[in-house]
Parts: sequence; C-alpha cells; structure tokens
Amino acid sequence: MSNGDSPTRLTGDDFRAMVAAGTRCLEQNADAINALNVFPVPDGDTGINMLLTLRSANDSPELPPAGRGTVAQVSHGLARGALLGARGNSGVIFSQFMKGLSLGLADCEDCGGADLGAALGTGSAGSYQAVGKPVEGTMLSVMRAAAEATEATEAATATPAEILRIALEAAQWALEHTPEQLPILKEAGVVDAGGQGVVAFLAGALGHLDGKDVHLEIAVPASSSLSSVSHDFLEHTEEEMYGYCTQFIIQGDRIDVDTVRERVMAMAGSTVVVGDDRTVRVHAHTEDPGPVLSLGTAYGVLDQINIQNMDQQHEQFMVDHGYKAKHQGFAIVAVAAGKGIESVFTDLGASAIVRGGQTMNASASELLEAARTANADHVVLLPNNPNIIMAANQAAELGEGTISVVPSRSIPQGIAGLLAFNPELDPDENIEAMKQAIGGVRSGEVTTAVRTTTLNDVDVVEGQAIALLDGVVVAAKSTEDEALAALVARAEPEADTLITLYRGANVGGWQAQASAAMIVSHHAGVEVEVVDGGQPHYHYLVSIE
Amino acid sequence: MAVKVVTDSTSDLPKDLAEELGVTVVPLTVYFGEEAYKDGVEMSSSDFFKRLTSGNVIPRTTQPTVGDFEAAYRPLAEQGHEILSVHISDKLSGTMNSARAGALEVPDAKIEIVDTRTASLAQALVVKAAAEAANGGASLAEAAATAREASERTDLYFLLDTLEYLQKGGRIGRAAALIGGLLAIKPVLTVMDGEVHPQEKLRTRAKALARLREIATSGGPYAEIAFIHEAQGDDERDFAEHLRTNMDAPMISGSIGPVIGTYTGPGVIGFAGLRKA
Repeated sequence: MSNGDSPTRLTGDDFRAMVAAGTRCLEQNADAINALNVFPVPDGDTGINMLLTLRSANDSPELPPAGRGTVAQVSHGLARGALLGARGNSGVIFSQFMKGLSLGLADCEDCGGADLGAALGTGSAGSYQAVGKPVEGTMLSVMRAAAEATEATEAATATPAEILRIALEAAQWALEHTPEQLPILKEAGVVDAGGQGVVAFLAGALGHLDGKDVHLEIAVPASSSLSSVSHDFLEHTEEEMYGYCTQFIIQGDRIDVDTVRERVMAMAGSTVVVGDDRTVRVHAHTEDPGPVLSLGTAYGVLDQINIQNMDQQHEQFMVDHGYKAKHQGFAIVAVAAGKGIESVFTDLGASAIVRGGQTMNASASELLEAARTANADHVVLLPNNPNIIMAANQAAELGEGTISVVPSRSIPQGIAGLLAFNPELDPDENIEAMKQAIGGVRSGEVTTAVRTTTLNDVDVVEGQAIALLDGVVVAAKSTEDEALAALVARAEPEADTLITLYRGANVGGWQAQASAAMIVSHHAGVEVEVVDGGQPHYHYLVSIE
Repeated sequence: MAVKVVTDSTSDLPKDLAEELGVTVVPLTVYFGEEAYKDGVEMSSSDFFKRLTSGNVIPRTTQPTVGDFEAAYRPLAEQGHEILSVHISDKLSGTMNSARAGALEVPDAKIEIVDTRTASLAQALVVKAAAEAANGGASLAEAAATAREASERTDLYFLLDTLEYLQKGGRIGRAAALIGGLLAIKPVLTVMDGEVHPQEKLRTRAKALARLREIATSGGPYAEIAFIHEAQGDDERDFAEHLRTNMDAPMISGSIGPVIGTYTGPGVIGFAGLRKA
C-alpha cells in the first residue's frame, strides 16, 4: 500500500485504533521483550509491564465514547489510563511518554503528520522528565531518536503514516545502538528491552495506518549467540534467578484470557498470558509450578507443558559460556573433602576447593595451581588440617607474596575463618580477622580406629569409634554416636553454645538427628545443627562455638 | 499556607507519630497470592507476620501507583500547602519514580521529592526531622534541605533470622547472597549508599544480638535513635532496654510493616540512628 492511501488526518477514533494496534504488536512480542530484559535488573518483566500499562491506557475510564471524541480527548484519556495503571519502571516511563504525547495534541480536533511529529517531541521530553537520573541506551534514547528524526523532517505536509515511518526507522536505529551506550546490554548481547517495546509499539501503530500486519524479528539471545556474555553479567544474573520457569498451553472453550492472566499474575512472576478464548499460552516464573498448573486445568486441557528449574538452567548457562573465575582482588582457596563440606565453603565465598584432608594431603603444587587458577591479586589458603599447613606454607613461598596462609587445623576452624571474611576490608585486615576467628571455635572429629593402641591414656581397639577434641583423642566407644556423645560431654558446652554436626558419607540423616536430639537433652540451652557434610572417613566433624 | 510532609509506608513510621507530625503516609501494596492489601492500612504488621509464618505463600509487593501519589498530593495542594515528599531509597523500590510522576500530575502544586537513600525507621527519622522543621515554620526549600542533610546522617543496622526473604525479594547483592547456604547464618546487615550490605556473619542469634548492641553503642553520637522490631519477645525487650540505657538519645520504637517485612521475614531486630550534625 502506498503512503497516499493512508489518511492525511487522524480522527479521535483513528488515533485510538492506532494505539490499540501498537498495543497488540507489543503483546505479540511481549515474550521476546521480556527475554531481552537485563537492565536495570534482569527480571524479565519489561514486556509485560509495558503491555499492562498500555492495556490500562486502552481501557481508560476517561476515554470518550467511541465515535465522539477529538484526538485531544482521546489522547488525554489514554494517557490518564496509562498513568494510573503504570507498572514497573518501564511502564511508568512509557506512561509519561503517553502523557507528553497528549500534551502535544491538546489542541487537536484531529491530527496531521505535523501534529503527530510535534507530539512525539513532547512525549520524549515527558519521559525524560519522569526519571531521576536518565540513562542513555534505554527506551529514553529510543523515544528521543524517534522525536528528533520527525522534528528534522519537513513535517508540514507529511501524513501521519509518513511521520511514524520516519519515527520507526530512527527508533530502530537507536535501538540497535543501545548496546554501545549501555555496557550491560553489550555484555548480554541484547538490545534494550524497553527500547524494543517502543519499537514494537510504533511498528504496530504504523502497520495499522498502512493497513498491514506487522511481524517483528526480535533477536532473542540463543545460547549459541551468547558465548560473548561477560562474566560480570553472568555473576549479576546469578542471584536473580530461582524457582521454575513454567510454560503450557490451555485448550478450552470460551476462556477469558484476562481472568486467567490476572490469576496467574497473582501467583507468579514474569507472567505472560496470551491467546484467544480457545487457546491460551501461559509463561510464568514461580517457586512452585503446581498451583499454576492446577489453575490452568480449571480452564481446559493442558498441552505442551514445559517446566524448567531456573537454577539448573542458570548453572548450565554458566557452563555453556565458559565461565571461569573473573579477576578479583582477593580469593580464598580451601582444602576440603565431601560434597556438603565443599558446598559450605563455596557458599561462604571460597573461590576454589582442593580435594584433600587427613588421608589425602594436598601437595604444595596442587595448592599453588588452585591459587593461580583463582585469578586474584591475593589468595588466602585455608589448609583445614595440621598435615597440610606445611604444604600451604610452601605454596605461599612459591607464590612470591601473592599467597598467604591462615593456618586452620580443622574444617570447623576453616569455616570460622571464612565467616570472618568481609569483602569490604583490605587483604591484610581480612587475614588478621580470619586468623583471630579460627581460634574462636573448638573442633571435634569422630572416626574409626585403624589399630589397637593407647593414646592420651585412652585405650583404643582397632575398629572402635574414636573421638578427638581439638586433635586429642578423648574417647573410644563401640559406636560413632556414643563417641560423639562422649566428645560433646568432654567439651562441656555452656548454654547458648552452637554445635554443628557435619555428618559423614556413611551416617544417615535420621541417625545424626537422633544424636543431635540426645545432645540437646543432655546439655541445657545448647543448640545443635546437622549438616550433610558427605565427608569420607569421618563419621562426624563437629564444631563447637 | 504551610509545608506538609508526605512519605511512603516503607518508613514504618508509627501511626500516632505520623498523626502528631501531620505526615501523610502513602501505602505500598502487599500481595498474598491474589489478595492485595494496602501496607499498614488494610493489613497490620501482626496480621502480616501471622500470615507469613503460617502459610507457604511468598508475598510480593508493589510500589504505590502514580495515581496514589496524585491522590495524596492534590488535596494538600488544594488546601494551599506546599509538599515535601520523602521516600525509600530508589535502589530498593520504584516508589521514587511513582512519586515523581505523581507530582507531574499536580502541576500547580509546589512539590519537592527527596530520596532518603535508606528505609524503614531510618527513613522515619528523616521524615520526623523534616516534619519538625516544616511544622516549625521552615520554607519548602529549608525543609527539603533538612531532609536531604538528615539523609546523609542515618545509620541502619539490623539482624535477620534468615536471609531467605531478602534473597527471594531480590533486594540484596551478590556478596550477601553467599552467606546463605547449607549453614544457618544470622547475618547483621546495614544500608549503605541506598543499598543493603552484609555487615557481619554470625552463627547464633545470641552472638548476632551482642554484635548489634556493640555496633549501636560504638556508633554515633546520635541525636535520635529508633528501635526496630517484629516480635515482642525477650530478645526484643532486652535489646530495647540496652538502647534505652546505653544510648544518650531520644528513642522511638517501631514495628516492621508488611512491605518491609516481606524482605526481612520474621524475627528482625534492628536500630536506626540519626547522627548528630
């Protein structure tokens, strides 16, 4: 269709239909826009927030009845609806754009290209005004590019469609350049989600004036194109994703899509619900996919159910993109064995674990290698065993001033040291705080005697369970739980003491819980926590603090 | 004509104090599943925590809408007042954006908007200072300057029973996320530069409380302090008593409201201080 066929002036009804078409185009692309969302936080809701804001505009109670309003009245009504229903920051900014648009059209019975061009200018100005600290490379830049392009044209004789075409081209151009303005976008390999929303809206609006259906190609990052994602971004996203990404289709009859959407939104985040009265597509992020699925079955038959654990997705994403340690100022390398123990160390901020312990002493070269891989200016080693302290000291010598040792003699000491680590302190202060902290905890071990002997006045028979408190044998018993009880009794814990039991690979959860209950009943005011340490050789590692 | 102060419900400003100061509190909204409640208006703090701990629904919150702020500003403006609107850190909530847009909707009114760069009772201390200045006859510019300057002097420290809620709500940075995990940790946190930072990681609540007491008494000197709590048990009573006897500053007490409570979870104890100028 040539430009000549589109109207030279828009009535109030035309304007309304144009905004509705822009909204539809945004809706069709809401999912893709959500997927682009990495700024300011990657919570994947930009598309849905803009869409809900525009829906509120189209449903505004302040709109004049169909067939009756001027462009000024319609744009005012739309803007009021957008303002009152604005959601999220992208929605608030877009509502200010709508408001600026209506200010620019305030004197228009109907509107021509020149009026529309001027209104894009007031719209862009309004959106900047809404934001405390405008950030370029966002939807603001895209709106402004659209406004400036139309301002620069000979608008007096242009039709609304011609103006929108110029605006859309400029907006698209600005959108493609957002990664150069906002580094996080470049790192993620995406354009700005809000800016893409603006482009979708303009494209839909123009498509309406041209009488054409619009199909946008939005490049959502697929894993193949994401290998350039930076570590900063990967680290930034780490804490933002949890729960389950739940998607399915409801096949039914006379489904009210809006009701489904409202109900899904009430129970989940990042919600997209689109479709018609027979087929509804649901996408939601939720802690528990069950209730959302049950809700779906209330409306029809479920199909194409796809539930993904986002934590796992994220881990896979990290692996796929060759995540390796980013250069950092300070890193901690700990020696540990057992899945649970290792997780405790990494959860608390250790950059790397060297497998080892009593029966597999890590070598100086292994420790040095791990320290180098941690890629930090300064690395602290936590040997967590008296037999590894020497090797750690040797690694420190080989590290020529970049490696220090906090001489932890046990896993509990190592954990106490790690807890004292504060990323906001400098390395020397941290090392000092960690050295002090390892003295603040008593360590116990329950293991199996490998030979018959007398140790520290305790007669030990091969195969018995023996208990060590701070490295000294204090009891030998026929079962590990009796040895544990004797160990705790010897420590004479005061009230308010916290005892952490790291149960070994061969100790069941129920068994450890029973022992914990026994300790609590024998020692008033003592708190016991059981952690699945999964360590070999030791039935229990015990920290008393 | 006078200067009137408006804040939002994340200030946890006690109701009677708000009335006494003539401060308008615009509520945020907390959602339990499909049910929406206006923070502190349609749901009290105690009802909220009962609901939070008895069910397995994780509540969500939303900032006030532009319309909410417009509705708060317009009647004040129509009575001929100028308005000072004092809010939660814009790094923790979008409330500032709604307030800014709401102010644009009442173009004839004179409205100043201030980001306190903090939250909860620390925000309340800033609101109180600003309202006292305004009630004492300060101009809008003077009251706004008081609020901005007081925002620079706030301290806020609190201990959580669990980091679960803060993490789920996305209001904590990466460093702090590390301190959750297999081990139960009692973290002491602070708000710095408008964001939540971990201060200390301790293994028991008793040790965390002792550390919080130390931080309070070694800080300052304070012109005014606030005791922040959720429950009303022995720990709370002892901590309030410690603040009252060891800190030479007037104290207000406030309970954590539903919206802040969504991120702290139950059992939170803390203190806010306004350092002497």
